Amino acid sequence: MNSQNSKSFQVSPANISEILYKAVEENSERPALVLPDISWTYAELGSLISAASNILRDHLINKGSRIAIIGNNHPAYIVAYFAAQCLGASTVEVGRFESLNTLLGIVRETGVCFVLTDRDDLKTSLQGHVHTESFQKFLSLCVEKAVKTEPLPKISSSIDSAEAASIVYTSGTTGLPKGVILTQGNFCFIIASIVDYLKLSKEDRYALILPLCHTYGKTVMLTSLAIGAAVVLLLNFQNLPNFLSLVESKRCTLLSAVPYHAHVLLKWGNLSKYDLSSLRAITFSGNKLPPANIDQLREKLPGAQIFSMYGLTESTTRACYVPPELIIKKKDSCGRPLPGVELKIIGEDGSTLPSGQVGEVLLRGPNVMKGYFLEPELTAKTIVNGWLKTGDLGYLDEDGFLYLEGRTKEIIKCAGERISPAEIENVLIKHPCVADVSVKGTSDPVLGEIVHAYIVQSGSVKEEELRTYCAKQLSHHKIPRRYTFVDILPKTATGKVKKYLL
Amino acid sequence: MEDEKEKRVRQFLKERFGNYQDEIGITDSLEGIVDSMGLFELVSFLENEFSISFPNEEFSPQRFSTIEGILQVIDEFHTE
Repeated sequence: MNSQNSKSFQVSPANISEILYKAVEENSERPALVLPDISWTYAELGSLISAASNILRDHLINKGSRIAIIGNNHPAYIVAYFAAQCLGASTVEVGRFESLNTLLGIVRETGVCFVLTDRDDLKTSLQGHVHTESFQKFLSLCVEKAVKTEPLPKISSSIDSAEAASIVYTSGTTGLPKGVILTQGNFCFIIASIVDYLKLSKEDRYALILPLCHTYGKTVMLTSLAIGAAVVLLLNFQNLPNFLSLVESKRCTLLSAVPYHAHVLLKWGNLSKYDLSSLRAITFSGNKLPPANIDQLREKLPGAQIFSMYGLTESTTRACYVPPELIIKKKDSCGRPLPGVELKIIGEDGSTLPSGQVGEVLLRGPNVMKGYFLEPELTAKTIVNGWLKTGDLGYLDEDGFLYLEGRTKEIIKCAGERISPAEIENVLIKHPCVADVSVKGTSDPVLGEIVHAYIVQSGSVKEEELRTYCAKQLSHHKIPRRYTFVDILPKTATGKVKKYLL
Repeated sequence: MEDEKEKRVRQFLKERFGNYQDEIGITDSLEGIVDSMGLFELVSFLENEFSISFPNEEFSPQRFSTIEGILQVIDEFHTE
């Protein structure tokens, strides 16, 4: 077994609400949440969360209940998330791009009794079935009640570290998104690890541009609040001059991103125009940051350390990182395991491979999920003897650093979003003029990968018609950007499409 | 010439964004068609296809919110 840093890693809080209580108590007058036009201290945020807990309690949310939060980043998202955690409830979180049908299926499947969303179509569809509130209205209610509210509810002693904190939906390999159950303990471990290796302090001002519904974005919020730092919520990355001006004026010290952001910032950001000297670290995960981008970032932002990281939702987003002092030496690596996390590479026969040999990456440690929601068979296939089978292919070098070489599982990674080819194939195959279909990711200079559909026609169908058809059933980012019509799909003897030949 | 530019822009929108419809007017909003990730794809396309150089300070999503706005960007920042 190739494992690194196997010394035990002590995590004191057992649950997320304990982290919050401590943060509010110790940092009451420090900024907790900073937006372009408003800023809340820890005491103010605590009051809002307390008011939100009361509102949720009025809707019979208590220990063991589930609430869904579906939408773009918004202060209401953060307030509701912590309110649920304080009550011992868990949050169901889904990508903001998912189609209405997918969202309705998840709401039904998880039996949530309260939905908070910025999606009008979802709110309308759930009317009369599940209590649904818009982000804006929920936040207004909290602000209204916050002045006369009681302190944060304290039931943390009864929230065990093994209990679910969140069910995070992410694209799987077999069709519809799967609910990854992450426990209180998963989050507490990963928060402590990240705080440690990023050397976070109360003085930090952490820019949050990643979606909160992704665990990577969630950890930006959780680690900042755990240490008493400020979260700077920046909602409009697309408006680059505005975004960079805010990073400058808010004196952000950290930024977490995916390689897509690096590409955009380097190509269109004109970084030298801004005083970004406050930025002391930038972290990247999602896909491997191209080595050329590492060089460019070091040149444009010499004061910022670059952390290249690896992880997946099933490992509470984080498993490995490259220490910034080794980023040049290990430019192609995605890091070595976090202290307390074990990593090994196995061959097709399940045996552990020595360094230098490519096989499947397996992880074991306190960051590994509890399992997939309502999917015991899939969970058993994915977590074997405590080892999480990541589906990623890679090898370790002699220093124990991981290098990724591909994937055994079919997942398209588009600008940090995971997309299941099977979900798109299942939609396209139902079109009356499609006899056979295969979907794969194709390299794209801006987005990393885009969805590419290969179609065998059974009747005459135009690309445009397939686009319109997919648009009715799939969320934007899953609609194939490219179509290729072929006479036949290359297949193995067992009927599996040889995608590498497409 | 103007028609040709519009035709190329529409062709790109059609190829890349599933919600695009030919009926969309030149001043109609592209909200819900060009998503947040798509904005940078669109800019990349315009730079390559029309040889424009787009300065950072002009990078406002509003400029790309209609086909008319996109055509103005092409005219304004055309470098050849």
